[in-house]
Amino acid sequence: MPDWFYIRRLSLLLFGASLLLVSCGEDGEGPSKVDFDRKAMLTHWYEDQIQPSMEAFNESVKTLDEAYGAFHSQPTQGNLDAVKTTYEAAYITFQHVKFYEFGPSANVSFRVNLNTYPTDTAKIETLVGNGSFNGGAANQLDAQGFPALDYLFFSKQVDLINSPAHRNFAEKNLLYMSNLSQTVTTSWQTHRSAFLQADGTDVGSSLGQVVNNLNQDYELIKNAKIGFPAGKKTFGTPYPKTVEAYYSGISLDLAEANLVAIHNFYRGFNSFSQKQGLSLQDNLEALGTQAEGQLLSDLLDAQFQDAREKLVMIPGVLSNAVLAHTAEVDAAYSAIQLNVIYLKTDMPSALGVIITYQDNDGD
Amino acid sequence: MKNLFPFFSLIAILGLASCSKEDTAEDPSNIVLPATYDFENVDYTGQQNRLDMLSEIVRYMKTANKGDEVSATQLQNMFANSGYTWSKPELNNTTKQLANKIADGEQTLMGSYFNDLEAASKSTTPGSNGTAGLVSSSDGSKTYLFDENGHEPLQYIEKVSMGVIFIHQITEVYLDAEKMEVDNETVETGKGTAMQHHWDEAFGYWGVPTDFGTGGFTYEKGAAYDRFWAKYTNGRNAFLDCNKNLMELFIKGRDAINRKDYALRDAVIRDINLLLAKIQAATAIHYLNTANANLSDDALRNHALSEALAFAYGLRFNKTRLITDIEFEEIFDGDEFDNLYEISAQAITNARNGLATAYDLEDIKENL
Repeated sequence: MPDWFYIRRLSLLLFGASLLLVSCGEDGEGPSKVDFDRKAMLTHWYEDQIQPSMEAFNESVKTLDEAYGAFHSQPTQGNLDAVKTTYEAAYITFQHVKFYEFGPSANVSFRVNLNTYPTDTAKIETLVGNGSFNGGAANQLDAQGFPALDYLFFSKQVDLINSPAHRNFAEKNLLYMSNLSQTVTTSWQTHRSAFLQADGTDVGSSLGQVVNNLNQDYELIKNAKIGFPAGKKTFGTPYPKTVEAYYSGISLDLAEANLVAIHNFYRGFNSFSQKQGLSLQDNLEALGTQAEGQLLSDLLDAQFQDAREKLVMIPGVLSNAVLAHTAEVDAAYSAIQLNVIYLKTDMPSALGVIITYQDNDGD
Repeated sequence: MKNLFPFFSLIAILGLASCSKEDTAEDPSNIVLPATYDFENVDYTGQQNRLDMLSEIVRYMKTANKGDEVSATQLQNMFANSGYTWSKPELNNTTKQLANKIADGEQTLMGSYFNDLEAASKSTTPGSNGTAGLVSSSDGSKTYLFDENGHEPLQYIEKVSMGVIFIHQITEVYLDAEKMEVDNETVETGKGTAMQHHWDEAFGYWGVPTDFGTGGFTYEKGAAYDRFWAKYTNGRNAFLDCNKNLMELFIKGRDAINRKDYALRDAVIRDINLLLAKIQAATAIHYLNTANANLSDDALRNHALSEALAFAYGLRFNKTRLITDIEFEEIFDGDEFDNLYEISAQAITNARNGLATAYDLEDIKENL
C-alpha cells in the first residue's frame, strides 16, 4: 500500500471533522453551502503538484541533454544506450506535466511543441539533409520534440552512431527542447500569485483551467494514444504506426504514466514532491455530489483505477496489440472512455466550472 | 410625538431634493434612462441593409470552402450594390452600398483580398505551405480556403470590413465632430433631428436588438443578429461585460442628445470608442490564443490567425487608437506573420502580449 493512501486517510479524517464543525454552526442547512477551502487546494496544486513536476521534468531533460552531449562527442553504443535510458525517463516525466497546458505552458504551446506525433520521418530526413532546424515553427512541429528523438534514437533506418548529420539534428532538437523546458519552468516559478489569485470558478479561474486541461489531456489518452491507432476514428481500420513512441515501443508505459499522473492529481498526490493535499476528489466529496447511486468522488476514483488495471492488461507493445490483442485494447479504451463522462460532465457541473476547450464559434 | 420627527425630516429632504432638481434640470443623476434602446423617431434601416449585404457576401464567399470558384468581379459588384441581384428582396430597392463606406485608402486593400480569394478558389489541389487551396482540420469538421502562405482571404474580407466600415463609420464618422455638431432642433418624423439620426446610425452599425444586454435578454446563436459586432461583443461578454455596458452607453448618449447635454454626450462617445476598441483587441487576442491552442492543426491555426490579424487591423479605424502603425507593425512582427504555416507559438504569444499591454487587457489575456 503506497504511503499516500495513509496520508489521504488522515487528511480525510481531519477534513471530516472540520465539516462536522461547520455543519454544527450552520443550523442544519442543506449541503449547498459547503465550506471547502479552494484556496488551500490551489496552494497545494501550485506548490506540491505543478512546481515540483515542472522542476522534475526540467531536470529530466537536462539529464537527457547531458547524456546526449557525451554521446555526441563520443558516439559509442554504450553512450547511445545511456541516451536511450535518459530519453525514456524524460518522456515518462513529460507525461506528468503535459496536462498543465495553461498559463506559462500555454503561452509557448508546450505540449504540441514537445509531443506532436506521429512524427514525419520524411520531413526529418529532408531537414537532416539540408542541415536546417527551425524549432517551434508550426510546419516543423511533427519533426521535433520527443517523437523526433524516438525516430532518431530507435529507428532501424537511422544509424546515429555513423551519421553526423542525424546527430547534429538530434542535438539541435535537444537544445530546442531544453531551452523550451527551462523557459516554461522559469515562467511557472513567477506564476504563483496569478495562479492563487484566480480562486473563483469562472472561465479564467485556476480551477476552471485545471479542470479543462485535465479533461483535454485525459481525452488525448483516449483518442490519440489508444483510439486512433486502434481504429476507433477510422471505421475500425487500425493505424499501428500512429502510436506515441512507435520506434522505442514504450507507448503503453507513456499512456500508463499519463493516466497515473492524472489519477494522482485527482486524488491530491504528487509522486515528485511525495505530498498529499486537498484535491478534486476532496472537493467533490465535500459537495456530496451523487452519480449512479454513489458518491461521484468515489465513482471517478474507482473508474480511474479500473482504466489503469485494463491498460496494463494489454500485452506487448501497443503497435502490435492494436492488431493482435484487440480485445484487451478495446477493454482499456472502453474503461478510459467511461470516465470521460464523469470527468467532463458530472465533475465540472458539480464544481460550477464550464468546459470551454471545444469552444468553436462555428465559422 | 417622537415618531413624527423622522417623518418631517423626510418631507424636508424631499422638498430640498425637488428644489435642487428644478434648479439643475440637467443633473444626469436624476435622469431615468430607458432600459432598452427605445426612443421616438429612430431609424437605422440603412445600416441594417448594409449588414444584410455583408451577410450575403459572406454566404457567397463560403461557397469557396466547398470547392466552388468565387469571382472578384461579383464581390466588387456586391460591395458596390451594382449589377447584382440580392436574394433578400428589400436590398434590391435601396441605393445603400458598402463600398462607399470603406475608410479612405482601404478600397485598394479590399480589392486585393477579392483577387486573393478568387485566385485561391481556382486552386484544384489541397492547400499546403506554398500552395493555395482547401485545408481541413485534422478531425475533418472544418474546411477553409487559404492562400499559399496560409492566410484566409474570406476572413480578411469579412473581419477587415467590420473594421474599415463598421468601426470606422461608428467612431470616425457618425460619432465624430462633423456628424455630431449638427442641427438638434428640427425633428423629422421617424428620423429625429440630424444629430439624433447620426447617433442612431452609429448604433445601427453595432447590429444588436434594442434589448441587447438587458436583464431579460438571452443571446441566441443562429438568431438574425448573431453576426458581426453583435456576435463578437457577445463573444467577449464573459470578460468585458460589454453587452450591457455598451448598450447602456448608447442609451445614455442618445438620452443626452435628447436633453442637449453635449458634455455628457462627448464623454459617452469616448467611452463607446474605448469599449469598442477593447472588444476589437480582446477578439484578436481570443483568436491568437485559439491559434496557439491548435498550433499543430494547419486549418484551425491558420483560420484563427487570419481572424486575429483581421480584427487587429480594424483597431486602426477606431477613433480611439491606443497603438500607432509602427507599434502595430512591431507587435505583428512582419516576417513572423508572413507565412502562417511556419509561425511559432512564441511569436503568437508575443503578439498577444503586445496587444494586451496596449489595450490594458493584461489580466485577462490568457483566458480570452
